[in-house]
Amino acid sequence: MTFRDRPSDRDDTEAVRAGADPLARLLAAASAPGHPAELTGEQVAVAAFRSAPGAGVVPGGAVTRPVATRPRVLTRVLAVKLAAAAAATAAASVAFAAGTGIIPNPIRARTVVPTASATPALPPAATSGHPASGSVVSGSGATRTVPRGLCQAYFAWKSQGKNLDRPAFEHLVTEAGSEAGVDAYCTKLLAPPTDEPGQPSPGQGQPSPGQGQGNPSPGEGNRPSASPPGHVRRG
Amino acid sequence: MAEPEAVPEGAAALTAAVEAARDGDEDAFRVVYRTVHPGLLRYLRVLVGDDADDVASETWLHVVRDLRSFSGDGDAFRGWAATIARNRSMDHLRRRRRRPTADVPVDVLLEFATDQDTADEAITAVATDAAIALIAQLPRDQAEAVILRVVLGLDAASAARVLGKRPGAVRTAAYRGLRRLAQTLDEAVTDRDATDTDGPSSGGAPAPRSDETPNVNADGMR
Repeated sequence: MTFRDRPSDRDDTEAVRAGADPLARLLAAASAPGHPAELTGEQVAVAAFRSAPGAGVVPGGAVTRPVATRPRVLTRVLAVKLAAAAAATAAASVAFAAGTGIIPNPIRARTVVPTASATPALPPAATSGHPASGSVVSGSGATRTVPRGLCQAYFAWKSQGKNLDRPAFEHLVTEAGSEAGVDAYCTKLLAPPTDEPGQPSPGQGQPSPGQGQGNPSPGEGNRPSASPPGHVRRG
Repeated sequence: MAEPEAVPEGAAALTAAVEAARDGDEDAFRVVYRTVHPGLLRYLRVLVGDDADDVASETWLHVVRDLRSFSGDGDAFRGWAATIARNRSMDHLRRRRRRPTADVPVDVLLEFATDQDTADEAITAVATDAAIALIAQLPRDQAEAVILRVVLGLDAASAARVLGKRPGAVRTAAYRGLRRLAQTLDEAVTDRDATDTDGPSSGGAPAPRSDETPNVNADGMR
């Protein structure tokens, strides 16, 4: 995004724009803003983000979703700014090629402007999923901790027909005892906590240093999920 | 960079989003993801071909796990994510023991090589995929240099850190890669001009990647 901000890369920005040059077109296409089809893994990533250390786990399995330290509107504006910067990248990448002398003289001065549809809009926050938390499943005398997000990621992964042959899931398979046992393990882990004895959950082990910034957001984070665990789109 | 009341631009915007995500702001994380992921995914297409989605998922799992220990601005975050993606790819390739291949249909090649003015048109996902597939056909050091510099927007020093090389070597590789791409496109034009007099060539059905179902109605795009 900041490609053109660097003096050494900026020299020819004004001189060369994406025009009719084949290489310029290719580079503009290569650096175009993300297409929706490229962002299908977002829910998996967000689920993992929710379960990451410091995601606001409190004793008892209740969850405080860390509240944005900035107004949400700022986040939205950031998204727009970044989309605009993505457009600049497409032009800057061409300028980079031009700086190398590979692209011939510009045919016309024109920037590559992405369509609005290529710019994803922010969904409302907390649209889906269980509240993030580390959950404790006791088994064979040991108390173990697996992030819920890992199970959510697992179900999302599985719904796409993928196998478990991933380092990211090794921990999960180990905890479940076997690959075949992951389904049941995660189903239990993601189940509503009503059938669990109410002992405090150690969660991720230590209190999050990121907590305490802002107030808990009422109605968010501790809300029961409206969707089944495997609910992450199908391709 | 960012004045107190001003909304940051460009790199500063990503920096702000990364910082907010580190504080647990999920919306900010989505912004980071949507900003960084497309370039990361394209880099992975060059490295591992059709397994890019899988390795990208692993990469993000790693990123969110270590996000709180990350420090740096938006550009540094890109480089950090690219490094993780590259390490994951190397692990992946060791397991799979095969090099990815990408076929670029000739007619897609011509989409870039012909003189049509696409500047006014939206750059389609097909065009982007084809461009990445074409870059992926370069020798790997050149392909990586081009992707990191052009698509992920890293400067030579950052790209060099990702690749474990000297910046000069990255500049050279990027230059050679771009020159080779230009030659490939030139040759496609020449071939097209040569065959134009013979009428349309046979077997010209557009053939986007057959193993990839078009998936345009992604969730979370509301």
